[in-house]
Amino acid sequence: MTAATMTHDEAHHGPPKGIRRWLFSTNHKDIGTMYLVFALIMLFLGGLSAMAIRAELFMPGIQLLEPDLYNNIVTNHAYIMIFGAVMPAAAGLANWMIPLMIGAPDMALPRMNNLSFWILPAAAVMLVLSFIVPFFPEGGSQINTGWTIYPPLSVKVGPAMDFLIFALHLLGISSVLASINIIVTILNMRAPGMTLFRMPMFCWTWLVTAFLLILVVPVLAGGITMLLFDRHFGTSFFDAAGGGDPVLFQHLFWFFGHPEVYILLLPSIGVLAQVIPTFARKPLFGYKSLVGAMLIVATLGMVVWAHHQYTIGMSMGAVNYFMIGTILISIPVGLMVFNFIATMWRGSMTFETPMLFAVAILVMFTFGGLTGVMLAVIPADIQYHDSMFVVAHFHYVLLPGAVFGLFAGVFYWLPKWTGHMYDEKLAKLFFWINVIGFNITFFPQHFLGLAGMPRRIVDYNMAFTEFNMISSIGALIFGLSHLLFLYIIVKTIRGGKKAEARAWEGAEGLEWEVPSPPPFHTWETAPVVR
Amino acid sequence: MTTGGGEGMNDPRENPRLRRRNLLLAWLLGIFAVLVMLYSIRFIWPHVDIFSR
Repeated sequence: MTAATMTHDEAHHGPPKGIRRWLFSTNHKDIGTMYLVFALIMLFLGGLSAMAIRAELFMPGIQLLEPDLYNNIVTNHAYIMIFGAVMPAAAGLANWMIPLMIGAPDMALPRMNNLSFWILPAAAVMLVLSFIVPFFPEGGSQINTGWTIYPPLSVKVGPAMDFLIFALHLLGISSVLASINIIVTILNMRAPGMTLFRMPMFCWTWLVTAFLLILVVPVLAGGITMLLFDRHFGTSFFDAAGGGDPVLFQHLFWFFGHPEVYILLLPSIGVLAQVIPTFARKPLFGYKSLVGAMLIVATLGMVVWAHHQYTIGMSMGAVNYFMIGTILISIPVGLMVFNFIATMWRGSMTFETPMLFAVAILVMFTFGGLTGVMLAVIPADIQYHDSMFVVAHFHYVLLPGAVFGLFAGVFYWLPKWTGHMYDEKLAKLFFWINVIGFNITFFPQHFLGLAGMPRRIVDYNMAFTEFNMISSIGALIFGLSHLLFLYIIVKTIRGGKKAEARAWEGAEGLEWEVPSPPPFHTWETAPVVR
Repeated sequence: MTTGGGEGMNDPRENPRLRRRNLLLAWLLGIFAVLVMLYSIRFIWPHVDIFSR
């Protein structure tokens, strides 16, 4: 039966059975679930590569990985985590929650939603192939560029780079399609009375994130298309010998790469804005100022990309501009943190796992932001550049800022999705192992960087041994803790204490008005928000 | 902008006006994304002699 001949009642049946339910799904909840499962698989894949990196760095000398393979793994780790784990997980939360939160029956363009998701596994295969291809006969050299894929090195890499470029194109298309869907859903599908300034903050953060994605992902697409042309079609966009300039690629990459950090962060900030008022049992402090701060962060984030390139020899005027712009970002970010603390102030707080993650984010993300201000200062950055200090800073920003936010979101909404409360004791155990493991891994890397250990290097001076050993032991604890996370999720899906529609005492919003788990179709009649 | 109340009014399959508005906005955003990509190439183009290698 075609969609055109489908009657109203037939279109509102329950879920189809078997594989068809997932392959052809246009249901936002099913697609959200698929995004989350995909992200979890990629989290473990990316985690394996992280374990390999830390195992190699446990001791000086070359133990397990040849230098090229080490660099290949570093590159793959970054792409799998950013494009495979964090972005799809955030998209999964968006798919599940935005229609429920704004009172819409589904995403605005459900078939495009299906396409956005199903491009991802194809892209993941290409990404994994980019890692494997060099091991085949005539597979060429391994991708030893790191995730920045700067030319001229990336022009000289073998066919594996083409797989990576095509994987990035696919991932970009998927992201842009998903962003379009989210923007249209939020702008056109809100229930009566749900004005923009009454929307849950999670929807606001995703609205801004989606616009950022549409503005910057195509620039990466343009950059890697030119890279592809330089590699195969005789152009010299980035080849100095042919009149091109490799530094231009860096500008294009970071015009995408820096806002990408905010793309990863903002959805988690949105989760924080849902979790903290719930467990502080108080409304969010300064809703409008938080929206304003987020818009300023997004705008400033678009115009400070070259702070990643202080050492390329820009004019003093240019580097000063990028330094001042970067430092300015700390003001709206500080305002966000202030708003969250003010929300907690004199609240009737309880510390269930989502709240524990929220508090951990505020502490550790702020610490990561602080080292960010250090790195923004030109003379300091020239010392820290390309050292382990940058690795520590980056992971202090993105693990608490993005990944912990996603964990908070998963624990917060898991009762809604599954209809069961998760095991709070196990979840708290996971939180503590995870957070302690994280800090043991990345805190010593600050000292390594300050002492002069370069990043992206397979071997190191013996003077750096102790801190590297501590970091690797921490990584093992941190990595293994995710098995517990997986166990808690599976256990919750299989059973547990029944969750009420409003799973948390202090929770507010339309998503808590529908049963847990919600029926296959929700809000077929728009609720009226008063 | 909200969709207004009533059963089916928030469902693009049953509200042609909403469907048209959704499609229009989606196409505009999609075209914008493609233009951004093309401009990022055009932005580099004048700075380099692309076929001189």
